[in-house]
Amino acid sequence: MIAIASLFAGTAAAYAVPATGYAIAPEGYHIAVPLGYSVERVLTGDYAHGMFKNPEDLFIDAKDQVYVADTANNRIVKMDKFGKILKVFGTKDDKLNLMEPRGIFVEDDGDVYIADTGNNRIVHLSPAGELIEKFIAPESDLIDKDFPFMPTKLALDRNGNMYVTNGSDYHGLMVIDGHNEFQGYIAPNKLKFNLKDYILRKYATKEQREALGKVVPPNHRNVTIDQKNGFLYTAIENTMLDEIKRFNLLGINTYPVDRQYGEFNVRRGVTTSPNVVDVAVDKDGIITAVDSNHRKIYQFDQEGNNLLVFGGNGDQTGFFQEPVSVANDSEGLLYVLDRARGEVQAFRANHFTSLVHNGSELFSDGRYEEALEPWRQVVSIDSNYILAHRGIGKALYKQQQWKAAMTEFRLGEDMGNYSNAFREYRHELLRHQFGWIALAAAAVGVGLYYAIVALNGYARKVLAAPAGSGYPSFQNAILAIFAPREAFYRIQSAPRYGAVIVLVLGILAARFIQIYFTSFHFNMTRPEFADFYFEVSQLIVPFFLFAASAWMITSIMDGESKFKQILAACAYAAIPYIIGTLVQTLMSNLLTRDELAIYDMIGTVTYCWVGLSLFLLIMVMNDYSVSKTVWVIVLSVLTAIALLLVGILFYVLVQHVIDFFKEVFLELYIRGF
Amino acid sequence: MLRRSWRIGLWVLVLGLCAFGVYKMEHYQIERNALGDGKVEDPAPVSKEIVDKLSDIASYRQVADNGRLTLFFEPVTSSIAVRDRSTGALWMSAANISDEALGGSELLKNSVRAPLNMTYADFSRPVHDPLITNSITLPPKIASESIDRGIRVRYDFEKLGISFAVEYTIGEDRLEVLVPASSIKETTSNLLVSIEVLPNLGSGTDQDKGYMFYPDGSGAISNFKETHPAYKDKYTATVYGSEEVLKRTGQRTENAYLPVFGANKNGSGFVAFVTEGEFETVINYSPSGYTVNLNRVSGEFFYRRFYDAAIRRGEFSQRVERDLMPVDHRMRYVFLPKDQSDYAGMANAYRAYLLDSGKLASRIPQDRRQIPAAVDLFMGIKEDSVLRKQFLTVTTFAQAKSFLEEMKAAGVDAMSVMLRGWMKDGEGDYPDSDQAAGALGGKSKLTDLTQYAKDNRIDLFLNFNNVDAFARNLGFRKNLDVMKSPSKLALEDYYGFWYLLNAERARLKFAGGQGEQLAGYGASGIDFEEMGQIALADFNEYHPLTREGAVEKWLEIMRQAREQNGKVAVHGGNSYVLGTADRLSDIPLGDTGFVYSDEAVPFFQMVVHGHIPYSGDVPMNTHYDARELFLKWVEYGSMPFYELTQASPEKFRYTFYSDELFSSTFEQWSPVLVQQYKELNGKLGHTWGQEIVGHRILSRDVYETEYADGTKVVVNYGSVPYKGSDIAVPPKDYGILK
Repeated sequence: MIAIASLFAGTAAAYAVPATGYAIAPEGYHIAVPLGYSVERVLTGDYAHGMFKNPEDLFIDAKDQVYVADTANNRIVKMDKFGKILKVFGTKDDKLNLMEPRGIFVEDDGDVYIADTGNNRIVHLSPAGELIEKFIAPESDLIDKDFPFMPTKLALDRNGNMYVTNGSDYHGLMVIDGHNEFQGYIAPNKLKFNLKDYILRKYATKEQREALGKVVPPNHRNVTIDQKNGFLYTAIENTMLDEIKRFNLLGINTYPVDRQYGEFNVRRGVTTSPNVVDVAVDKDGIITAVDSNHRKIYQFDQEGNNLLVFGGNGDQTGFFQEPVSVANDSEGLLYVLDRARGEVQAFRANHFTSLVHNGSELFSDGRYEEALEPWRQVVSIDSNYILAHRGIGKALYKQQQWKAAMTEFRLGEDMGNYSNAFREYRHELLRHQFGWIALAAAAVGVGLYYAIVALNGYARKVLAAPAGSGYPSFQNAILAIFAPREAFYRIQSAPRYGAVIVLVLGILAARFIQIYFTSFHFNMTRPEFADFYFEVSQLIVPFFLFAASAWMITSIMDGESKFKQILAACAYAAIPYIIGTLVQTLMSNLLTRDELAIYDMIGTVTYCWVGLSLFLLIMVMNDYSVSKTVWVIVLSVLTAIALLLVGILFYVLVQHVIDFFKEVFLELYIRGF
Repeated sequence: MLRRSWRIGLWVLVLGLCAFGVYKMEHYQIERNALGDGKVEDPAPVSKEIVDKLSDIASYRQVADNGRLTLFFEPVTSSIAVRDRSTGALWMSAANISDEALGGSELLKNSVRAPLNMTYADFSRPVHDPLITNSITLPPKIASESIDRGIRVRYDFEKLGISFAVEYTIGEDRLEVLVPASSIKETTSNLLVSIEVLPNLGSGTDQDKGYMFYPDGSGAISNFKETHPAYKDKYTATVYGSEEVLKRTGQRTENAYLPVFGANKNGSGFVAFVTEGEFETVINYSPSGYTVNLNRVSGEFFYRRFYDAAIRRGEFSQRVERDLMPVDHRMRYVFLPKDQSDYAGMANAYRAYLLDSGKLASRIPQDRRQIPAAVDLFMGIKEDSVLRKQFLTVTTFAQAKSFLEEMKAAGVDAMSVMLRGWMKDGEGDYPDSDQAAGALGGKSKLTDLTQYAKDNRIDLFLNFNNVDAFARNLGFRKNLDVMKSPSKLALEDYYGFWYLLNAERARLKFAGGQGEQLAGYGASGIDFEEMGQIALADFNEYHPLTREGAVEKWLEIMRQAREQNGKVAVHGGNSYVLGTADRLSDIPLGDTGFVYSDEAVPFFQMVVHGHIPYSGDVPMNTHYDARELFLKWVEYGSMPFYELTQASPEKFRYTFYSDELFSSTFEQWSPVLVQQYKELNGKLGHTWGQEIVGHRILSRDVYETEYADGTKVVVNYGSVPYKGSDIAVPPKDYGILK
C-alpha cells in the first residue's frame, strides 16, 4: 500500500490543483473527493469589543449560541451564531478576574462553566454572568502531587459530574462532583510496550536512565460529551495511534483501537506528525477531529472509518493557521476556532458530504438497504469513494445479488465481504449447474490422476534407461518430482546452464502469474501496486545467495560438488515452487477466505517440498550423512545472511562514493560556467 | 650539486607558497562596504515637521496641468499629488492618517508617507537578505527637472551608492510613472532589487469608505473597515504567477493574471496598470491590520531576483543576481469619473487600454448569440502495472465522434471541445508526443473526428503540453533542454522528477515538424497547457531567456499553431495570451480566498467577455456544488464546462488522474449538459458577443452583472430570497432584467 501512496505523491499535478478534499481509504491511501465543506461565514470579534487574542476553546450551546474562550484577553465571549456579540464574561465591570481561561462548557439551561486555568479554578456562572460557585483544587490522596490543579478543558454530564483535563496530567480525566469532591480519575491512557525503549532501559545505568527522562502516557488534550448516548470523546495529543477515544461512563474505550486517526506523512522532505487537539460529535454520531499540526479537519463514522478530510495550512478562507477547537451547531454547521488567526470559521456541508453522512449513518445502524440510495448518489458523484462501494455491496448482498455485490466489494477493496459474496455466488452456481460442474470436476480429477500416473510411468522408464539418453534436461525435471535422489545424481554428472536459465525464468513467470491471476480476495500483491524490481529480487537474490553459500560451505566441509552442479540442482529443486504457486493461484479462484486454511496449506506444502528437495540435493551431491546435511544447511543459511549484509554494506559504500563524485561534478559545474 | 640546490629551491618555493596561501586564507576579509563599517553616518530622516505637512497641499508646487488634472510636487521629499477637477479628488503619495490611528514602528510611519520604498541587497555579504528602506527614513539627494507635462526626479541614495530617476507625467485622464532602466546607477556592492513607487497613492484608513482592488484570480476586493483582525501576511503577487512552480507546497494560490490594481475611496477611484515591464513587477496590497492600520495597494518594480544558490548538495543560501535586468517600467494611473469609479469602471478602463494597444484581440463576432458548451473529452492514460505500463482506453476517437453527434442531435449547436490524453502515451506523460494513440483509433479515426467537427462548425482542440517534462522522457540531453535557475541548476521538483522545457528548445522542436504533424490531424486548433499560467526566467546556458523572452517563445509557438490550424487555445489567462488566443481554459471563477479579501469579483471576465471564449477551472462533473457552479457561470459569463468520458472513471482509478476526475461518464452527464446548455442559451445566448460593462454586489450573496445592451443578470447564491426594486430572485437562483 505504500506503493500506492508514493504513486499518487509522485505524479500528482504540481500546480493548478483545484480545491478539493480527500478521504483516507482504510488501507491508508488518499481518494480525491469534491470539497467537503465550504465556508459559510467567519466569526471574529468586533471593533467595539475588540478582536480575539489567542482564543483556545469554542463551545456551542443548545440554542446555537457560540462561546469563545478568548484566552489572552482573559475573557469569555458569547455570540449568536452569526457572530454578533451578546455578552462578555470577564470584563472590568463584572469582577470575575478570569485569568487565561482555556476551556468552556455550557449546560442546556445556559449555565456557564469556565476552566479558569490561570487562577487554578473552575467558575460556574449563571446565564446572566453572575458568579454561582467556584471549584478549586479538590483534595484527595489519589491525586498526583506532581500535577497541581490546572483545569484546561471540561465537560459535564447530566448528573453534574465534571470531567476535567488537568494540564499535562496523564492519569486520565479528573472527575469532580457538584460538591467539589474528587471522584477519581477516569479513562487513563496506557503506555504501549516499546522494545527499543525496554532494551535501552534494561541495560542503561541509573544516570543514563535518569537522563532519558520518565516516559509517561500521552494525556487527553480535550474532552467532549455526547449526553444523549452517554459517551465521552477525547482527543489525545502527541501520539501516533488512537488519537481519538470514545469512553462509556465506566471509562472503557469503545472506539476501534490500534488505528491511526491522524496522518503521519513525509512529503518533500518535511515530516508532519499528527496532533489531534479537539473532537466534536454531531447528532448523527459523525465525529470531527481537528489536527493542529496538519491544520486539517478529519471526519469519521462510528466505526472509525475516515469519511473525508479538508482544510490545510494557508492564509485563505477555508484553510487554517492553528485550528484548536471544533464544534457542531444544531443546523449541522461546523465551527472551527483558529487560535493564530483569532477567528471562527463556520463551514456548511456540501451536497456530497451530506450524502456521505446520510449513508454512513444508515449503514452504522445496519440499515443497509435504506443506505443504498445515498451511497448510489455518492458513487455517481465520486466513483472512487470506497465506503460507498462497500455500502452498496452490503445492500446488494442483502438482496442476494451476489455477482453485483462482488463487483461492488471489489471496487470497495473489501476482501472479506468479497469472499462472502463469492461464497454465496459459488453456492448458487453449484446449485444451478451442479451436473455440469460435477462432471467437469470429475473429468479434471480423472485427467489429473492419469497425467500423474503417466508421468510417474515415464519417470520409471527414464530411471531404467541409462543417464544421458533422450532429453536429459526434461527427464531430470520429471525425476526431480518423482525420484529426486536420482535426479540430483544425474544433474551432478551433467549440469547445464541452459536448464538453470529456463527454470529461473519459470520461477519468475510463476510469480507473475500469481500476481496477475490470483483472485481479488486472496491477492496481497496486486499488479497495479507491485514493484517489478522488488518482486524479481525477492526471488532471485535468495536463490543465488543460497546456491553460492551452499557451494562455499560444502567445499570446505569435504563436499564433492562444484558451483555449477549446485546451481543447476538448486534450479531443479525449485520446480515444486513453480507447481505449488500455479496450483495456489488456480485454487484462489475457487476457494473463499473461509477456506483460507486450504489455501495456506498449499503454500506450506510447497515450501516443505522445496526444503526437502534442497536437503536431498546437499545430501546426495556431497555424500553427507543426515546430521551433517542439517549442519551444512544451517551454516549455508548463516553464510547467505552474512553475504547479504556484506553486499548491503558494499552497496551503501558505493553509493557514497558515487554521491561524492556527483557533488564534485556539481561544484565544478556551478563554478565552471 | 646544481640539481640538489634546484631541488631545495623548488621545495622552499612550494612551501613558501603554501604558507602564503594559508596566511591569506586565515586573514581573508570579506569586502565590506560603508554601511557595514558605519564609516559614513546615516543621513538624518526627513524632519517630523516636513513629514506632518505632507498632507497639506500648500507645501507642494504645481508642475503640470492639463485642464482636468493638475500635478503637484513637493521638493524636499519629492512627494507627488494629483488633483482631479472632474471629481474633486486629490490623490497624494503621502497617506493622510494620524500616527495614533496608524500604529506601528517609526520606519513604517515614514513608509506610509514616502513617495517610494526601495529594496536592495548587499552583495558583499555571505547571505543576501533583502534590505528595505524608504525615501523618508533614508532621504536620498533629490534633484528634479521639468519635462514635458511633468517632472523628472533623480534620487541619489549616496550612502548606498544607488541612484535612479523617476518621471511623473500627466495625460488626459492619467498619471504616468516611468523608471528608465538606463537611469539606474550602482557604485558600491549594494545592489538595487526593487522600487515600489507611490506605495500610498489612494491609501485608505479604516474610517474611509471604499475598497482596494487587486488581481488575485478573477479579481478580489478588500473593503476599508474598522473590524478586522491583525493580519500576518499581505497580498504580494508576482504578475503572471510565482516562479516557484515546481516547489509549491500546500496552499493553492491563483495567479495575478493581469498587471492591474485599483482603489475606490470615498466615491472616486483610479485603476493602475503596468504598461511596460510588467514581467518584472509585483502587485502588493497591504490590508489594514497588516503591521499598520492603513489599506495600501501598489506596484513594485523588480530589477533582480533572489534565488537559492547551492552551497553543497541539499544546502542552499539566499543570493541575489549580480546583473541588473535592464527593464524600463512604466505604470499608468487612470483616474475614473465618478460614475465609473467602481471595479467595473476599472475593468472598462483597462479593457479600453488593452483593445487600443492591441493586447486584447476580439475573437467573438458581435452577432454570435450562442454560448458554446466547453467539453473536455478524456481519452486515455497509461497505468503502471508490475510488468508493463498499459494504455487504458477511456474514450476512443469513434466514441468521441458519436458523443458530438448525440449532442448535436439533442440541440447543442455550439461546442468547444478539447481532447485530452489523445496522444500515444496518454495523459500526463510530458512532454506530450505528437502521435495519435493507436489504441484510440489512430490517425485515421482522429481525422475522421476532426472532419466531423469541422463540418458541423464545432471547435475541436487537441490538448498538448510541451512545457512540462519528466526526467524519464528527457534522456541525456536533459541539461540542454530544461529551464534553469540563476544557480545554474535545473528547475526540478523535490523528487528530481518534474522539469520544465526550455522555451526556445520547445519552439525549435515545434517549428521543426512537430507543429506540422499536429496540424496534420485537421483539428480546429491546438490547446496549449501551462503557457498562460506560468512565466519563468530561464538561465539555461544555451538559450537563456528572461521571463518576457520565454513567454515570447511560447507566443511564437502559439502563433505558428494558429497559422497552421486556424485557431489556438491556451490554459490560463495571463494577459500576454489575450492578443493571440482564440479560447481560454482554467480561468478561475473566483479568487484565492485570502483572509483579508472580502469579495471575489469577475474583473478578468469583465475584461475578456465578448472578446475571447473562456471556461472555468473545475468542470461541472467534479464540482462540489452543481448549483453554485451553474450560478457562477451565469454571473461570470463563462461557458458551461464538462469533462466527460466513455468508460467509468473506475477504469483509471489507480492513475494520478483519479485526483482530477471521479465522475465523468457521458451517459450520466450528457442529459445535464443538454439541459444546462439549453437553459443558458435560452436566457443568455444573446449576451455571448457582448462586453460585461457593470457588476455590483447588491447584498450579501447577491450579485448583478450588466451587459453592453443593458441586460442585467441578478444571481442569488444565498439561502434567503432577494427582493430588489425591480426584480425578485428566489434563493439559489437567478433572474434577468432586459
